[in-house]
Amino acid sequence: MKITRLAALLAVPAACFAAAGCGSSGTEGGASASAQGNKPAKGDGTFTVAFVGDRSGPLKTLGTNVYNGLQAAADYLNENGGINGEKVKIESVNDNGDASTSVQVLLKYLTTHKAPDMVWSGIESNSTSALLPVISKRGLFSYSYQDGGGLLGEGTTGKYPHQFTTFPPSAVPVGVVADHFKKMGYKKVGIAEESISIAQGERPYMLKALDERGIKHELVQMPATATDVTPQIDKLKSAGADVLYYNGVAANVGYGMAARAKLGWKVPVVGGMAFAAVDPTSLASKKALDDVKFVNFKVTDSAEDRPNLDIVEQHIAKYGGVNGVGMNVVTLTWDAMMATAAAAQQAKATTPDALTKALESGSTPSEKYATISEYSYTSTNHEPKITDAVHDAYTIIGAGPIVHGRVNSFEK
Amino acid sequence: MAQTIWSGLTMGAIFALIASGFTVSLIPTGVFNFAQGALVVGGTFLTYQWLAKAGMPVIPAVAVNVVIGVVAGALCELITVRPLRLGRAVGGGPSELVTTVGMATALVGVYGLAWGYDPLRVPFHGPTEVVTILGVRMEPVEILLVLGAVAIAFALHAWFKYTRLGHACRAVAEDRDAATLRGVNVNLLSIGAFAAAGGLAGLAAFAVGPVTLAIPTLAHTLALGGFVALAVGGEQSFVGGLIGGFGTGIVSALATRYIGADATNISVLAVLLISLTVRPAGLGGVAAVRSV
Repeated sequence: MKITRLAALLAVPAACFAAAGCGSSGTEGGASASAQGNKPAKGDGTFTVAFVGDRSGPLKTLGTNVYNGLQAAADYLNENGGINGEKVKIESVNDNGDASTSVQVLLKYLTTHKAPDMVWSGIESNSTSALLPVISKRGLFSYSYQDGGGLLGEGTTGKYPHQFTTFPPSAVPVGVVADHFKKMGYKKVGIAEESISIAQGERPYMLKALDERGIKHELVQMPATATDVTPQIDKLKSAGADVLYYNGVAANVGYGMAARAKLGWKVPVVGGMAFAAVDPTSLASKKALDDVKFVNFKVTDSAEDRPNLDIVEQHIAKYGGVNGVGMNVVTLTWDAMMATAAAAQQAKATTPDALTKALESGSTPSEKYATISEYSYTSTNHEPKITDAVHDAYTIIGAGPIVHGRVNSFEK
Repeated sequence: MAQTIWSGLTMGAIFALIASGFTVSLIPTGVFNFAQGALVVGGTFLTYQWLAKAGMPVIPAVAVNVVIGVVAGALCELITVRPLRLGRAVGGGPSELVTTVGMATALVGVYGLAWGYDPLRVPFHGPTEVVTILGVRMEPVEILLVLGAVAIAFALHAWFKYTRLGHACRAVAEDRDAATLRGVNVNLLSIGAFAAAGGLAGLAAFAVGPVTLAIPTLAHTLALGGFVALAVGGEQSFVGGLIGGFGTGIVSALATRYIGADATNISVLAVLLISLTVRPAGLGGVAAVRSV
């Protein structure tokens, strides 16, 4: 009797282990495969993209537009046969705009779903930098809106072998700005830099670009928590700068433009890439934005006619269009999906290794890119290689209201 | 330097207004209402709503803001303070500080849900042409902010010193039990104080909003600045809070201008540490005497 009861007790855990062993040998997501990282399950007819980003928190506007961009691209690809015949499906994993939450929710997703074919790894650098190690450890393929603070540039592929971005390096837009300063004959640039990573990351490139062009510069920093930057702008005015390069974002742009107007400092202003992250006309008066420009992608300028933009706009309209951000937010996301589709077609496979090899081959041409006409990656660099096509994607835009992602410059 | 000092005075005026709000609710209740900064930020969003979206004239908009502020302040007291007081004679413990911090966080979330997290430009329906006084360029709204902070601080000082109700508040602050025995309705004073602080927040928002923009996450920054002003000035002194606010703003602006952005927060901390070391009760505070 006792032996029978003992045998029954031992049979239960034994049966459980046996079932787990059978389960793991039957799928790629089991115990043995997870030791090497999740590998996407094949043959289910779906190319799944897990979007990790803010859908409800402080960066909800950006996150929603990136998500809608993925959906629009998925719709277009599905209308044209999907990715290697697989239907593209976007799944949302909301991180509420918090980097630590992004890791938690992704891990929870990975334990409750089969591994996705692609992860959209965050919408801002803190989340991306938190997610990339997790994604890399699990051998997943990913694209992100930006590079997580330099994590995907030259020499990083050993650590992040299957992770890519469509956002070009900071050296490109600051080079465009420096060329503009040279062309306009400015002698001294006053640089107002908000103490945030995106602005501080650009600084060495801007200083180098100005030095190379023989343009003097004076730098001031503005605390991220400041609500008045008049002292800093006053310092640049006192230094005799004949143009102001303003590298701040959101509310800081409003404070800076108000300070310049209050001081009666009538020098031209050129904003950095983040200048129009929030519509500047919602932060400062038209008078304060007089003679204010900023660098951004041509696709954001309503005066520019870019290829395939009509297709993007047609497909994003289903999701309410582009709202509160520049068009480049959606088109860079779109381009990531087109690059992935082109790589899959080239490789005739959708595994992370196959997609990576195709992207690294130097050119994954697609006729449907909207921001930059071609994206080139190498085995050591998963940021777009700096080419003429990348340079050609940027312009200096006059400030004006942003309507459905496109700037209607006051200067027009 | 004069321009930088004026920037400091403007920011300091905002801190002083927050400190005045803290003091109004602190004197009769002993509770530091950390949600005061959030109430001011709520006022800036409402100002944006009335003036930019609804097209309301200024006077009715101010009146509505004050009424809503009064109601919001009263609700703060009922939700964060009153429940903790039930069965307890003495107030002003750490529990109320925690609950008011929670209220501030909840309000920030509400603003984000209602208006989003992108900053909003709050219009100022007054003169907008920059004026130059003694070589310093000033916006009219900044002049209103500075003069308003001074006027409110002195008005509140006079009210608490010379009016019957002000005396009652000070009596409660000195000895709550004795005040109760003398017939002072401490519960009514408590809710009234919070309501008044809320009304002050709604009023101040008309001048604060055009300077700071309406941003939900600004609540904690303003509360911390107001706290430093209060600590420097003394927790029951309106004039002390005014001087503390101006001093903090000026030191911070000068440090930012002449040292760098990294010095901004450090300079504020230095002001706080030095003032607490030299005069722990604050500039306008009175050291408490305790029998042992």
